[in-house]
Amino acid sequence: MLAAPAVALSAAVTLLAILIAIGFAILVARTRRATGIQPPAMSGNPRLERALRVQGNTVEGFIVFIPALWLATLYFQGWIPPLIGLIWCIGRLIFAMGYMAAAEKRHIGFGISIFSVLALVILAGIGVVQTLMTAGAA
Amino acid sequence: MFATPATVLSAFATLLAAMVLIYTFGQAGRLRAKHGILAPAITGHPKFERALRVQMNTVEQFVIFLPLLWLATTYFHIIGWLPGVLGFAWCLGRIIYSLGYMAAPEKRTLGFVITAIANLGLLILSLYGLLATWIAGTVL
Repeated sequence: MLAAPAVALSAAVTLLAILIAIGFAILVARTRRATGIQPPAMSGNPRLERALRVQGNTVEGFIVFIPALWLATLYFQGWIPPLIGLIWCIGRLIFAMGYMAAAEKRHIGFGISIFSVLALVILAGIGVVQTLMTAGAA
Repeated sequence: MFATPATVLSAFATLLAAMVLIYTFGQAGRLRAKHGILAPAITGHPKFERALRVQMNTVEQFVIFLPLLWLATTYFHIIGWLPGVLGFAWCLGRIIYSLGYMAAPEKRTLGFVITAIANLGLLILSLYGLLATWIAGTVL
């Protein structure tokens, strides 16, 4: 079942999301070097603070996204969960580019990601309820 | 599939990683109390600030590590125990990272690098395993 096309697609999307998260961590490290602000300091330059928020917000989003993606993949099934997962990744990239350009330009990417996660949670909920009802009927 | 030796090894690595994470929470909490820094303040004493960075950085690494460990465990089967062993290496790296960072911020590098290499190894195994699964024709 883990080799089913939709499941493998979600695995690929998970890897893509991880690469994006690593990319944002590298963005922070590069901005730290460019601004000369050493850890554990978390402020001191607007650009570094924006990079830290891009990374921090993505980590926060990540811990909801990964379980939601996999619950939807395993219980709702089909190719829609990995497709929404891909949209989440695109949303995160738009969020980062917008936020690094200017703090007020972060909303579009944020909106795309938050609606993707919401959709995954709804699909996961439908899938879990259906599975429970089927199990109850059996 | 959850009772194979390789899977159980990764399960143990997951438990150990969770315990390392809980340790970093405890460390930050203890130093918060010791130096009288009331929440939600996140500054006030260098030692507490370092402990908080250890905790936050470990959370950031954890959210990448956990999916990678299980993707590698699920899809990479050539050397079944390798993902689990990389999982233990990650835990070891995090402990060294914490000890180093608490001693001095510039001593955080070694542990960080061990963790990063473990994550990178798991990423490569995941990619390889997933591609192999795809090419094997079981997918599409």
